[in-house]
Amino acid sequence: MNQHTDIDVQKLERALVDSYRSRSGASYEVDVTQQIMRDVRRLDTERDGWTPPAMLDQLIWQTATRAAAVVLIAAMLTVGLFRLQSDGPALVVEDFEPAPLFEE
Amino acid sequence: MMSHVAFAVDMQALPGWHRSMTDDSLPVVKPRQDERELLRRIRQGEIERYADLIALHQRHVIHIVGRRVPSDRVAEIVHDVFVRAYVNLGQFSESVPFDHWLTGIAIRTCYDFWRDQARHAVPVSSLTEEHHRWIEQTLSAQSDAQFRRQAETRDAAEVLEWALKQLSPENRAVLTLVHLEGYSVREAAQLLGWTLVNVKVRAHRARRALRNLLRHTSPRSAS
Repeated sequence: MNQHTDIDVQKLERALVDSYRSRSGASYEVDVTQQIMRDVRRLDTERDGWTPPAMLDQLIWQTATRAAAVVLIAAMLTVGLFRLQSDGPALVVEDFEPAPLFEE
Repeated sequence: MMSHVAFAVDMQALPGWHRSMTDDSLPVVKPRQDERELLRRIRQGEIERYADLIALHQRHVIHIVGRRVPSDRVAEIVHDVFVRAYVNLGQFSESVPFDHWLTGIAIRTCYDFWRDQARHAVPVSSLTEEHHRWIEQTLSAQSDAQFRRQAETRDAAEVLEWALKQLSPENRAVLTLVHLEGYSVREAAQLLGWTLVNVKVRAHRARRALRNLLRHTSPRSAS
C-alpha cells in the first residue's frame, strides 16, 4: 500500500493552507437583516409575554416569605405564651413550698 | 520548497490570513463611541436600532461564516449568529471589541453547524480523478509560481473541503482557526470558549489527523 512521504504530505498541507488563504471569500449577496429583525421582535414580544409569570413568580416568593415570617412570629408567641402559662403554677408552687401550711 | 519565513510574509497580505496578535492576550479595544451608544440604546429597549448594528457587522460575519459552512447555508447561519448575539447581548461586557465578541459567536455557531452535521452522519464523498491529478501536479510543481497556481485552483479548495469534512467538528474548528487562519492558540481558545490546554491538544491532534489523511491520498494507496 503506497503512502505519500513526509515531504509530500508537508507540501500538500502547505498547498491547502495556501489555497485557504488565497480565497478572497466568495462575495455572498446576503442580507438577512429583515429576517433577523423579525425574529428579534418576536423574541422581544415573547420576553414581554413572560413578564407576568416572572412577576407572579416574584409575588409568590414575597407572599411565601411573609407567610413564613408570620408563622414564625406566631409560633414564637405561642411558645412564649405556653411557657408563661406552664411556668405560672410552678412559680406559685415554689412560692408556697418554703412555707408549709401545717407544721408538725 | 518555499521557506517558512517567506511563506509567512507572503501570507500576511492575503485576505484569508488573520494577522496574529503579538501580545499574550487579546487587545482590549473599547468599542467606538457611536457603537457603544447604539448598544446602550438597544439594551434600553430600542430594538429597531439592532438593524443598524447588523448593518455595521453583517459583512464581517458573512466573511467568517462564508469560509466555514457550505454556500447554501451561509444566510441561515449568519441569521443564527445575529439572533444569538441579540439574545446574549446582556452578557457583552465591552471589555473586548464588539466585533471580536461577535466573531466568537459566529465561530461557535459554525462549530455547532458541523456538530449537527456529524450527528446526522452525512457521508463524505471520496476524492475524484481530478483531485488525484491535482495532488500529483502539486507534488511535481517545479517552481514557487507553479505551486502557487496549483494552490489557487478550485481543485485545491475541494481537496481541502474534503479533508476538513473527514475531521471531527472540534478538530475542524481548531484547525481552521489555528492552522488555516493563523490565530494563536490563546486567541482560538477565547473565540471558542474552550480552555487553552484543550485547544493546544486539539490543534496538535487536528494537524496530525490532516497529515494522516493527506498521507493516504495517493491513488495507489486506495487499491
